[in-house]
Amino acid sequence: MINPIHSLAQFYLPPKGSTFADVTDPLFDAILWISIVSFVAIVVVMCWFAIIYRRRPGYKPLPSPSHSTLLELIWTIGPTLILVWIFFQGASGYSTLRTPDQDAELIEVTASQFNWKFTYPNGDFGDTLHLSVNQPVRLQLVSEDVIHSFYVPEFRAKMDVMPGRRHSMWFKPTLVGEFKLFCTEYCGDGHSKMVKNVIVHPEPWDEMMRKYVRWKDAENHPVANGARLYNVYCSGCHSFDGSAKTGPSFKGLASSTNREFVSGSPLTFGGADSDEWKNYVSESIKRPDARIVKGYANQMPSFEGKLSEEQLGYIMQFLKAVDGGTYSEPPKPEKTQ
Amino acid sequence: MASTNVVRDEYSPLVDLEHSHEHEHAPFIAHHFYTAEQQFDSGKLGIWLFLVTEVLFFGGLFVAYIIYRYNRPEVFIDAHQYLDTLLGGLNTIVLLFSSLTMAWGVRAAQMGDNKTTAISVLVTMVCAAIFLGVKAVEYSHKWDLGLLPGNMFSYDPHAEHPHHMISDYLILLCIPFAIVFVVTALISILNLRTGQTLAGRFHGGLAITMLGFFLGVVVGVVWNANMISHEEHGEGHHAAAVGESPVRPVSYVADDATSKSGAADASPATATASNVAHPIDKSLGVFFSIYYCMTGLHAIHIIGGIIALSWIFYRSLAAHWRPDYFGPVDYVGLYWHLVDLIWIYLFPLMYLIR
Amino acid sequence: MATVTQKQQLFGHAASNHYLDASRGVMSWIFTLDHKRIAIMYMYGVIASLFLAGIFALVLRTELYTPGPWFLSNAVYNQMFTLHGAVMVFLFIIPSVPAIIGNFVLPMMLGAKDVAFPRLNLASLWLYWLGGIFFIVVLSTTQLDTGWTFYTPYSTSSSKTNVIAATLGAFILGFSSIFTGLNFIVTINTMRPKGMTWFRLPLLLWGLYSTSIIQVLATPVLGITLLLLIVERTLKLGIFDPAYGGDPLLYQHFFWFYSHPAVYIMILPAMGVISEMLAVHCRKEVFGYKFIAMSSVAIALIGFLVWGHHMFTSGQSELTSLVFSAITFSVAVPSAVKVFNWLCTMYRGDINLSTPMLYVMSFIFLFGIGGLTGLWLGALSTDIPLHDTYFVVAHFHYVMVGGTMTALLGGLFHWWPKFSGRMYNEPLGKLFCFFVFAGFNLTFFPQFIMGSLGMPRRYHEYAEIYQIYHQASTWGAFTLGIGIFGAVMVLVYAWFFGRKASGNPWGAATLEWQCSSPPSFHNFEHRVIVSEPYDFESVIYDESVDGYIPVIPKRDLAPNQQPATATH
Repeated sequence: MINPIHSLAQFYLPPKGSTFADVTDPLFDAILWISIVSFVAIVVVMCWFAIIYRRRPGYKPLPSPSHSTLLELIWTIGPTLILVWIFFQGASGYSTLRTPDQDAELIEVTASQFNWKFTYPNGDFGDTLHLSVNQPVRLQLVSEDVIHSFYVPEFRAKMDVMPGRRHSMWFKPTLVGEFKLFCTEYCGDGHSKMVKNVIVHPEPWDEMMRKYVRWKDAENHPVANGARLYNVYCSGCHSFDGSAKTGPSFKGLASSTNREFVSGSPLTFGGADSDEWKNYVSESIKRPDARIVKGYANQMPSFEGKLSEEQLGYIMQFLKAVDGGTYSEPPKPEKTQ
Repeated sequence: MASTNVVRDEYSPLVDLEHSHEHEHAPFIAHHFYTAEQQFDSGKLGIWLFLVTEVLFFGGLFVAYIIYRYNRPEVFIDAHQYLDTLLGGLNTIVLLFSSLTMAWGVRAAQMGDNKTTAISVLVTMVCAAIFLGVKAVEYSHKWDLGLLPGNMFSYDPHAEHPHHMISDYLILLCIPFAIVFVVTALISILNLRTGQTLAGRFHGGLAITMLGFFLGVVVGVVWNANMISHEEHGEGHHAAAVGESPVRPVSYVADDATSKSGAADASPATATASNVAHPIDKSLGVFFSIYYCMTGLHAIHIIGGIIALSWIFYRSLAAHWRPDYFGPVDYVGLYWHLVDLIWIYLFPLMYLIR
Repeated sequence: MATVTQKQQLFGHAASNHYLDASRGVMSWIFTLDHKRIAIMYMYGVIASLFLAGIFALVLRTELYTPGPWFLSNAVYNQMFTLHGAVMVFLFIIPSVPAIIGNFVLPMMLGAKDVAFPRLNLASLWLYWLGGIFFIVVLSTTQLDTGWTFYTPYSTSSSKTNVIAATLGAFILGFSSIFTGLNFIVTINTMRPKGMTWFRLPLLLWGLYSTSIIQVLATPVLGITLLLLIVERTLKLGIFDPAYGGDPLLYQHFFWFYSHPAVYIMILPAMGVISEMLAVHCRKEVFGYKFIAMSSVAIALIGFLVWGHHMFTSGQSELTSLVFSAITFSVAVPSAVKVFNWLCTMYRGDINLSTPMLYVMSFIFLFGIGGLTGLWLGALSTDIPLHDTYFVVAHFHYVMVGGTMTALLGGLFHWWPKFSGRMYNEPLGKLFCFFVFAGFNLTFFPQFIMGSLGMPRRYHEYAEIYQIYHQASTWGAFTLGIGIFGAVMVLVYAWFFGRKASGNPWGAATLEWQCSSPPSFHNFEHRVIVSEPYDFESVIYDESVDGYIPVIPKRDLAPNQQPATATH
């Protein structure tokens, strides 16, 4: 069946930019029709009564009942049934909106007055959201100051961004193009300027990432570069806050003066600037099986050829920052894309 | 149809408002009420509704308490030991006793026994003042230690704490009560000299109430002094560190006093050093935020209660109550019971956490 | 038999010694305990607030005529929409119907001399002034830019404006509201005359009673919330601000626990006013009286359980959202029941298309749109894209302004003969009613469209695709402004120069029309006859007083009193 108002939908709804539009728009139209029918009925009846029963010379009103239980029941139960239907439609659509797709790619979103920052799986970040058509994404939202809200009208997706707690939202863009991202929770003077671009690229996710989301080392602080490499390659097995994971924590590594191993003699360092320390770190990354730290198993893959000498340097800068206390959270953006 | 629905009540007080009615009014019935019963019922319903709003007002704080205790039970268990259960218990008994005297006063007013009402209400006021006195000691001691709300929390278990009995904060809290005492006592003496017995007795009652406050302060200070002297003579069972002695109020434990007696008169430099070594954990601040909000709001209600009670006290001295007119005593009594009831909830929720 | 003079004394225009003339001087007003004078003084404050906040609205709408910034900076724009909202909500719309029409009419509908606690009534008026003074302080210092909702942590740590004065003002106004509600509950409970059973209460009193329950039960929670916010902002308590370990969602729960029921504080008395005016101007017993009365109570009670529907996108749990959505829909049913009953009341009526009746019809039209658009916002999936857009702005303006303000204006026209003792100019009243209706729709209907297209609310600058709707809205706002200003001017003119009104010019059967216009200090000069509130056969038109007088059957005469009226 063709919805006659569908061609008009462009008039009151934005283009369908994600799979959610197919969830929310039909219910939107259904409620619209229910409303139009009941509203027109009410107004027509009201005006009709006002005209034919108006006070005028020679008009004598006929008596009429002052209550009718049957009518009351009809107009209590009738609307109730319609409302129950709307509620279930809304609720089932809502669970779609809130249940992320299994294949969703994770992007971290950090909001602050009055900026958005998107951090991608490869550690790159920027203030434009690059997406790939038909690739579901899950956004993990957190705010640095006050409450913000993430809203892209075309995606029919919205979620508040709270300070102090992380929320997730997801969607699957279906329309290639450039859209606007609005902040919809009032956040201060620049609230209406907290608008950024969302670009949905036609390329598949991996290709899109290679093309548009590329970390540019030269534009960043060495510690930020190191942190990014840590997040991408190391954070699965090594913590930097002292907690134990598969491998030893990085906390205290840069300030340690000696290290004991499962086999072989212990090493002593003269601090993180000494050649011994740098050689040891470099060796642990390229040939991790050469020395196994006491208390751990030989599980780490080799990163020989995957990381350049320059990148090794960034990691060492990061390790030093961890022990110097200057690194406790991901670095703030110092650049815009 | 119309005529059958018209209700004519020959006894309706609405008949002929202008002429027949005014002289029937007893002096205590307001002009817009028709009978003493109607006036009493209105007042009673009004005060109950007011109490409902009070319960909801505190209800918000209780909800906040529940949510934070649910989220961070360890903070609450850790924090409650800074509260002095014995002083809190003493205050509970004082308030329970004041509820008894209040009920006594209401009963006496119903009988038209204005003298008993006046005495009962005065005892209630004195109890309220004792409560405030003890509370003032509790508060000022915590302020000395830095047990402050939220971000201002600055208690350092490893730092030296002043041991003087009378804190500066306590003196500050006592000043307004002392002023009221002096003024009311002087007015009372003046009134009695000039033969204004009613006013003299009223102001005398207020002065006695203020003395109740100082009685509370003395009890609190003596109790504190006892605790501290026990610590210093090593008679008490000594808690080694904060958090390890859930039974005793750790705030009174000078944990460094015995082990580092040389540091008793610590110079500012060493104090700073110890601060750096042990960064202050502010997580307890949330507990004290809620503690001060709830007990502070309750204390404000106690002060409001004293003001309302003094009005009742005055009218009792003026012998206003009679068996068909005792509403205000009843209403203030209900308010007072509610204030007590809130404390009955606050005490276990704050002081007796396990 | 009663002479014409007697009749005119009893049921005509009060010759002298009415409440306006009973005593003179400013002090006789400031310290009055008379509920009628208190109502009049509330009216000055409420209408002044309406104009003040209305001027803010016009400035905002003018600024929004262009997509970019025009003559306001971001900061000033934010302050202006905040004060528009805060003044409208706290100083205009919450007190509007209960404090003006309720205070004036409620005791008289009960045949009483005054409310149960006249001093408390005066105290709540003074608190209203005091709260207003705090808002003037806000206006004359660093303003306020938090939005009327004072969301934390913006209000506690980020805003540089005078949040404390504003929240203290709102806190004080809350107590004014509590005292009024408490007073009304007690008055309706204990001061009903014999013969007035609960189901003989005029429907306005059911509306006010339900409202008062909400005021007494919900407002204290707002009070403690605002108090905590003030302490949080000054002492950094850590209850709402996550930077110190608090939870901003807790604030939203507390705030909406009051502020959603507050929506019913705004609309329930308006619905009561509509029921009264509809019955009188259709000269017809209200259809389904008990269903309308009980639906008010149902709305009041269910209204306490729906606050979470303001937080569907806040990250509250899915289950919570589901429950709140379900309860939200259940509150829609009693509202629909009311509308259907009103329509049936018109059936075979004797409809007097006077100004109040036109406001009634506007109300049904506008409230119909406001209520139906609530369906999109109550349904979870459609709320997500619409939340915090202009769709929501349009929705609540249709309910609160299209509903409550229309009912207030209509109610003022309806009871103006009682307030002032004068009749207003009927053609001019109708003309400005039309301006209000047309201007209102032109202002807010385009906002539904731009909201569904994604225009976020509280935006100073916007994309050009939304401009056409903003322009229509701006033109509508000025039309609406002319309508409201004109309507108020018609009333002001009538106060001084209007034709003198009789005691009961509309032929209403509720008790307040049994006093003279304006009423005497003690309201009633003669015995009150309690009958069904909508039994329009109990009054009959009498030319000698140019109004209606009660019909008293002979056999019911009190022994010591002459009949006040002729029988038929």
